[in-house]
Amino acid sequence: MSRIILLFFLVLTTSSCKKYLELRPDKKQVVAHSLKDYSALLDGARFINIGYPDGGEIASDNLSVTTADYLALPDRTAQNLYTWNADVFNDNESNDWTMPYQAVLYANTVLEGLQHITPDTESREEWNRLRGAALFFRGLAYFNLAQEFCAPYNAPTAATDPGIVLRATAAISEASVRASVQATYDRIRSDLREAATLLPAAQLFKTRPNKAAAFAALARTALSCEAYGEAKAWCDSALFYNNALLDYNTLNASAANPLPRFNAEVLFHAIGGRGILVPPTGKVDSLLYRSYATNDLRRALYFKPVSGGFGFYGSYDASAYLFMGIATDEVYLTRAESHARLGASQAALADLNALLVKRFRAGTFVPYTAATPAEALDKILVERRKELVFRNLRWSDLRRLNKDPRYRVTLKRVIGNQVYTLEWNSPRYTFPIPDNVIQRSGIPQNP
Amino acid sequence: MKFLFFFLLLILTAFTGMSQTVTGSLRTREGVPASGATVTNNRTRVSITATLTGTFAIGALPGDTLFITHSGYEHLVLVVPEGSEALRLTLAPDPHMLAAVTVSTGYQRLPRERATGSFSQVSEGLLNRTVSTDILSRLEGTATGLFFDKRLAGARLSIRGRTTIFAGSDPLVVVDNFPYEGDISNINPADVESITLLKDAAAASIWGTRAANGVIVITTRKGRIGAKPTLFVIANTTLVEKPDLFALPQMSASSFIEVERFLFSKGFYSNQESSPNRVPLSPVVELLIRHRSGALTTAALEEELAKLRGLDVRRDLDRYLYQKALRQQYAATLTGGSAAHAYALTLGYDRNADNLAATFRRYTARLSNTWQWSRRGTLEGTVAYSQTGARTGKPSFSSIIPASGKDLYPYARLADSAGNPLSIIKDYRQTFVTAAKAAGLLDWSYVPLQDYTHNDNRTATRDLLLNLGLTYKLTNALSFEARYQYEGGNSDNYNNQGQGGYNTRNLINRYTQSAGGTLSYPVPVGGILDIENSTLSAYAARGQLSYNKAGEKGALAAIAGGEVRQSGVTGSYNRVYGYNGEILTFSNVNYDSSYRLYYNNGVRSTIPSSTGFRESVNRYVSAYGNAAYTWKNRYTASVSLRRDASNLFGVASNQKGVPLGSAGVAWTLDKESFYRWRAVPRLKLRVTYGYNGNVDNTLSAYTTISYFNSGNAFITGPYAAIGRPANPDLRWERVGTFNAGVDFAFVKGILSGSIEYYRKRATDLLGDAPVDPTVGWPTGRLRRNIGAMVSEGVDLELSSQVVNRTFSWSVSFLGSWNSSRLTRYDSISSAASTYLTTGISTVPLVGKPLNNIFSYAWAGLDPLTGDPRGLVNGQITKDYLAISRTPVPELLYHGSATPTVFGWLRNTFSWKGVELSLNVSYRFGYYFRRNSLQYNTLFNGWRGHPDYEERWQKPGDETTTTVPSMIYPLNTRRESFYENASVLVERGDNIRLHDIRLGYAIEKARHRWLPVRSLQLYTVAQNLGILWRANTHGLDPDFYGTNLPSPLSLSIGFKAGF
Repeated sequence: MSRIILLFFLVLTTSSCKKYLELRPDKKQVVAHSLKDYSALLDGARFINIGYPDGGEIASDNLSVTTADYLALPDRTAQNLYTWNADVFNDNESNDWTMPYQAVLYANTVLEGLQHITPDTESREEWNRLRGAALFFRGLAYFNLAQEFCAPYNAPTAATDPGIVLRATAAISEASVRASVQATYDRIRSDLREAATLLPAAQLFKTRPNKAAAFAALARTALSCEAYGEAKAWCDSALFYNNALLDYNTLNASAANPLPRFNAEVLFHAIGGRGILVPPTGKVDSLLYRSYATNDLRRALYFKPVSGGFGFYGSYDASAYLFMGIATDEVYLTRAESHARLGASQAALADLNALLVKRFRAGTFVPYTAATPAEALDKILVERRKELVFRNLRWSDLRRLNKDPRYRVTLKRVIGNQVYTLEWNSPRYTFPIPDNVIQRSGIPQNP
Repeated sequence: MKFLFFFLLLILTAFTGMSQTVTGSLRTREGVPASGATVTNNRTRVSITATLTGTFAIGALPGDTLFITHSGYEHLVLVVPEGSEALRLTLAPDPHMLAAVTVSTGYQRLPRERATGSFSQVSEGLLNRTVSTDILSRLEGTATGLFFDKRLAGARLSIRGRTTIFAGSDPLVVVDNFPYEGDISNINPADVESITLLKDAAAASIWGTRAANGVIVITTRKGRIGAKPTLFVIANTTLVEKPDLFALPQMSASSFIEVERFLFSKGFYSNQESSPNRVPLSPVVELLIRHRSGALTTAALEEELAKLRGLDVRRDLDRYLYQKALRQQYAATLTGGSAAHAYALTLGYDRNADNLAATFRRYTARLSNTWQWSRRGTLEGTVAYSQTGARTGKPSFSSIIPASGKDLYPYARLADSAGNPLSIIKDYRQTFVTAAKAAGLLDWSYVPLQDYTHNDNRTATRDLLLNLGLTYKLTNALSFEARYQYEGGNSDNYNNQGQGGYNTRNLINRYTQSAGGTLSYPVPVGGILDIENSTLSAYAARGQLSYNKAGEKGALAAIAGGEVRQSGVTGSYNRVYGYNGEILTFSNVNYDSSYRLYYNNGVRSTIPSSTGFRESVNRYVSAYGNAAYTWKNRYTASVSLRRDASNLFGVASNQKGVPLGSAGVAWTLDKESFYRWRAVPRLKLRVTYGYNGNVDNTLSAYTTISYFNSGNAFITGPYAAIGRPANPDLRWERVGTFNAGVDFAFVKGILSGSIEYYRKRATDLLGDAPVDPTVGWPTGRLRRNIGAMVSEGVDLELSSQVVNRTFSWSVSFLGSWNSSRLTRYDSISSAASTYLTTGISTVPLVGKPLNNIFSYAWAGLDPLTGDPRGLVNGQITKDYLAISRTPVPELLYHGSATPTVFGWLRNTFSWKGVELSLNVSYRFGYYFRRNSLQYNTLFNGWRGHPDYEERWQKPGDETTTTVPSMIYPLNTRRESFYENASVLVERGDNIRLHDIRLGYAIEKARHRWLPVRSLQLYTVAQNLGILWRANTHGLDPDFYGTNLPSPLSLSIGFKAGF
C-alpha cells in the first residue's frame, strides 16, 4: 500500500512536465511560419486594401458640400479637412496616418517571415510573389502617406525636408524617426522597383498586385516628383503588361454604379472614402461637372443628380466606396503628360486620344490636336482631372501643379458667410500628423 | 503492514507514558461528534486530538485536570473522576468567538487560532440571511474587504481592492478542493455549508499564480460520522418590483419636438432626407417634411404634434414590457451518518421569471459520502449534477432602438389606446419601408411588443462533477491524501429567429435582389437558426502529504504536494438560413458572393456567416508546500511555497515556473503567563508577507495571426489578420502582500473583532502601453508588463452583544478602507481626454487609483451666449481646442471612482425565537460623473436629458444654471468640454438600507404541537433604497447608465427540519 502511494507521489512530482505544457492553449492562435500563412496575411484586405487615405480627396477642389450638410456633419475631421483647418485625424483611431502604417506592419511582418524561409525550386515563385506583394503594399502605403504628411517633393530641398517615418522592421520597439522627403521617395522607389521584378504578370485576385501595378505605382511616384522621363519609362513598362481600356459605350448609365468592379483597366484594387465624399452629402464641383461635354459618356456614367447638385457614382468599386487602386487610364494620362513635358506633343496626344475615344459616345469624339507641347499639356491636365475624378489623385496633382505658375490655383470654400481659402503655397497642403503620434513618438510636427 | 501498525501503536503507547488511560466521547450541543477537539492533561502537558467520531483516549490519573478545547466552542475544564467509566461530554458553543472553528484553504483545514493569515469565514447562517439564486451574491455584506461593483449589469466582486489593471480581477473560486471551472451559478446555495475568503498572502499563496485577487473557498455540505439523519426542507419565493424606468433621464416629448423643429429649420436633416442609406427620420421630422411639401396644413401639423407632446414612452415600456419578477427556490437536504459512514444529499429546484419574462430553471443534485474504512483510511466521494434551462424574454428598454446609436424618441408609442401593438421607426425611413412593401418585399416594420414572440432563444446547460478523495494515515502524524476531480459540462444555445421577427425580415430584405421588379432572395425566406454549443472538460489530480503533530511543547502542521490540472473547452456554432422548425428544413446560401443591398444599391455585402469552431486547453502543473509550527500554543510561524507552470502560449518565463510564497507569524498574547488583562480574554497578533500571482492567458510571446473564413468580399478562401504582436517579455503579474492583524474579544461579548492592515505591492502589471500608432497598431495600445501599484487598507470587523437576555441585541460592524495608487506606468500618454472617463474602466495614471475621476476646471457659462467656459493657464476661455489640450497635471483631480471607505452595519434583535435584522451599507470617499445634456447625442443620437429645461436661454440664466445654451451648428469640442467639466462631478457617498430580515424559529422540543422537529419562517426585503446621499440630484451613484438601480425585492420562505 505505502509503496503504491510513494510511487504515485513520485510520478506526480518528478515526471517531466515539459511535454505536457507544450500544448497550444488555443487552437486558433497560430504563429505565422509558412508561405500559406503569409499569403493569407497579405489577403487580409480589411487591413491592406480598404480604408485608403482620403483626406486629400476631401480637401481637394473636386468636392463640394452645401452649408447645411457641412454644419450637420458629425465627422469633425471631415469638416476640418474640407475647410483646411489644422485639427484633423485626432478624433478617430483609424485615420489617414494609422491605416497605411497598419499595411506597413503587415508588409514588414511578411518580409521578415520570408527571410526565415529558404524557398526551393517549387516554392520560389510563391516566395517571390509574396515578397513582391509585401514590398508593393509598403511602397504604396508610403506613397499615400507622403502625399498627405510631407511637403510636396521639391528637388533642391528634398534632402532636408521632413518626410514620413520609414519602418524597417515589424518590431514594436523600433523607434519612429522621420526620414527626409528624398529618403522617403527613394524608399518608395526601391520597394516598388523590387516589387516589379518579383511580382507575377497576373494574379488570381485584383486585390493582389501584379507587375503592371508595380510599374504604374512607380510611374505615379515619379510623376509626383516631376521626374517625367522616369515616369514615361514606367508607364511604358506598365502598359506593356496591360494596356486594356474599357469602352464606356458598353456600359449602362442607368445602373446604380455603372462602372464594373475588377474591370479590365484595374491593375490593383483598393478602396476608401468616408461619408463626406459620398452623395448626396458629397457633390462634384459644379464647374467641373459642367466641363464634361454632353457627348462625353462620363457625364452620365460618373454623375447622377442629387438634391442640390450631382453626386459621383463612377467608382471602379461599383459601390459607394471610392476606388483608390491603380488602373490603366491613369497610366495613359501620366504617359501623355510625361510626353508633353518632355516636348513630344504628338506622342502625348496619341495617348490622350487613345483613352478619350473610349470615353465619348461612339463616333462623336474629335481627336485633340495641339500646336505646341504646352498646349497639349493644358489639354492633358484638364482631361486628367476629369478622368481621374474621385480617385484620390487630385490632391497629389494639386500639390505638384501648384509649383508651376501656369497651373497654380487658390481653392475656396464658402460655409454660410464664412469664406475659406487655400493659397497655392499654403502649409495646409501638408496635413498635421495626429497629436497622439507626435506625443508618443516625439517626431517633429508639420508646420 | 499489520506489523508496522502494531509497531507504531507500541511506540505511541510508550509516548503517552505509564499512566492510566481515560477514554471518553465528545459531542457538541448539536449532537455532532467534536472531531478535532484538543484534550490536554494539565499535569502531563500531553495533548491529543479527538477522532472523527469524537472519541478520545488520554493518559491521566484520577484528580488530573483535563482541558478540552474545540474551535468555536467554550473551553471545558474537567477533573478526572475515580473509576474507569467512559466520559460523555458535551461542548457548548462559544458565543464570543469571532467566527467558527476551522478555516479551509482548499488544501487543508486550519484551526483558526493557529492561523497566521487573513481569513474571513462566512457561516451558513449568514449566507442564508438573504435569498438569491446564486451563491456569490449572498456574500454581499458579510465580510470586510469584499466589494460589489454594480455600476454595470452583472455585479463584479473584488476582495481588498483591485491590484490588476487589465488582467482578470475576479477572485479565484474554489469549490471544496479545486478551482471551479464551470459556471458558478450551477452551485445551489443550499449545497453550501460555509465560505472562507482568503485575503492575504499567507492565506491565499497556496493558490499561487491565481490568488492575487483573493480566493473564495466554498465548502459544500458533508455528512458527519455518527450524526443522526437530519432532513431539511427549504422553500422560498421572491417577488421583485419592476425597475424604475422613470429614473431614466429623458427629455419631455414636448421639448424633444421643439429641438427637432429647431434642427429642421436649420436644414439639419436635409442630407439625411436624401441619404442613400435611407437613414430613419423620427415621426416628427417626417411630419415636418410633409408640412414643408404642402401635404400637411399648418393646423394639421400642430394637431399631430399636440398629440405627440403628451406621450412618454417610459409609460408604455413600464406598462407593456416590464413585470414583477418571481423567483422560487426549493431544496431538500438530508445529512447523516453511521459509525463509519457519513452522507449528505441535497436536491434543489429553482424557477425564476425576471422583469422581462425571461425564464430560468435549475435542477441540482449533490451527494457526498465519506467512508472511514479503517482507523487510518477515509474515502470521500462527491457527485454533483446540475442542469439549467433559460429562455429569453421581452426586449429591454435599451434594446428597443430606432437604429444603431439612436435612442428611442420620447414620444414613441408601443401600443395604441386599445393596447394593440404599434410599430416604431427602425433602421430606415418610413417612406422607404412603405415603398419596399409595395414593391413586394417582406413587411419591414418593427413592432417591439410582438417581435420577441417570433424568437425562440433558449440555453440549456448540464454540469457533472465527480470528486474523489482518499486520506490515509501513514502514522498518527503523517497522512497521505490523493484527490481527483473531474468536471464535465456542456451548454447548448438554440436561437431560432422566426421569419416573423424583425431581424430575420430585415436580413432577408436587405439582400433581396430586384431585377426589373422580379425579386430574388439570396437570404432565403424563412427563419434563421443559430445553434451554439460548448463543452467543458476539466480534471485535476493532487497528491499530498500532511504532517500534523502536536507535541508537548509545540504543534507542527505541514503539507506538501503536487497537482496537475487541465481545463479544456471545445465548442462550435453554426447558422442556417431559411429554417423551418416545423419540418426541419433549411436552405443553402452563397457566402462567397457579395450582393448589392436593397436599401442602398451602392453598398455590397456578403451574407453574414456564423459557423465556427473553438478549442482551447489550459494546463497547469504545480508543486506546493506549507508548514506552520506553533510553540507553546502561543507562537506560530508559517511558511508556504508554490511553483506553477502552465502551457501559456510561448512564455519562456512562465514555462520555467514561478515560485510564489509567503511567511507569517502569530502571537497569541492571551496565553502568555504574564497576560493579566482580564477584560480582554482573547488577544492575538499576526503578521504575514508573501507573493501571489495573476495572469492573462490571452497573451502570447509570439506574433500570432488569426484566420478568417469569410467576410472578405474581394477574394475567395481564407485570409488572416495579425492577432497580437510578439511580446517576448511577457511575465505573470505579482502581488506582494503585507498583512498585520489583531484579533480580540472583550469579556461577555461586549466587543469582539479584528482589525487588519494590509499593503499590497503589485509589480509587472499588464497595461495597455500607449504606443505610437506608427508601429502599425491603429488603436495605439499594446498590452505589456508595464505597471506597478500599491494598494493599502484597513479591514475592521466588530461585533457586540449589546443585550443578551430573553431579548437580545447584537451589532456587527464591517468597515473597510482602501486606498490605491499606481506607482509605475511606462507610458507617455499626455492627452487629457484619456483620463476623462466615467471611472468605470481602469484609467492608469501614476499616483492615482485605477478608477478615478478627473475633470476640466469650470468657469461658468458665458453671460452673453450661454457657452460653457473653462480655464487655460488660469485664464477664462472658450477656446475648447486649447482646453482639450490641457496637460494632464493641470486637470482637476477629484478622487477615486470606487468607494475608499465602505462597509456594513448589521443590527440583530431577537426575542423568543423572533429575530429581526437590518443590514445597512455605507460607501464613502468616491466620485462619479453625472450625466447631463449633450447636444451631439441629442441631435444625432436622439438621447435627451431633463437638463434641457434648465439650459441657458437668456442673459442672467447663468446665475441659476450650468447647462449650456443650445447652439447650431454643433461644436463637438464644446460638448466634450461640458461633459467632462468639474460641474458635473458629484460625490458618490451614500448610506443605504440593503435589507431587512424577519425570522421566526420554533422547535418541537418546546412546542409539542409542531408537526416537524424545527421550523424557521422568514421574510426578507432587499434593496430598500438610499437613506442618505451626498449628491443633490437624487442619483444613485452605484448604478450607471442603462443599468437601473436594483428594484425592491421581497422574499418569504421557510426551512423545516425533520
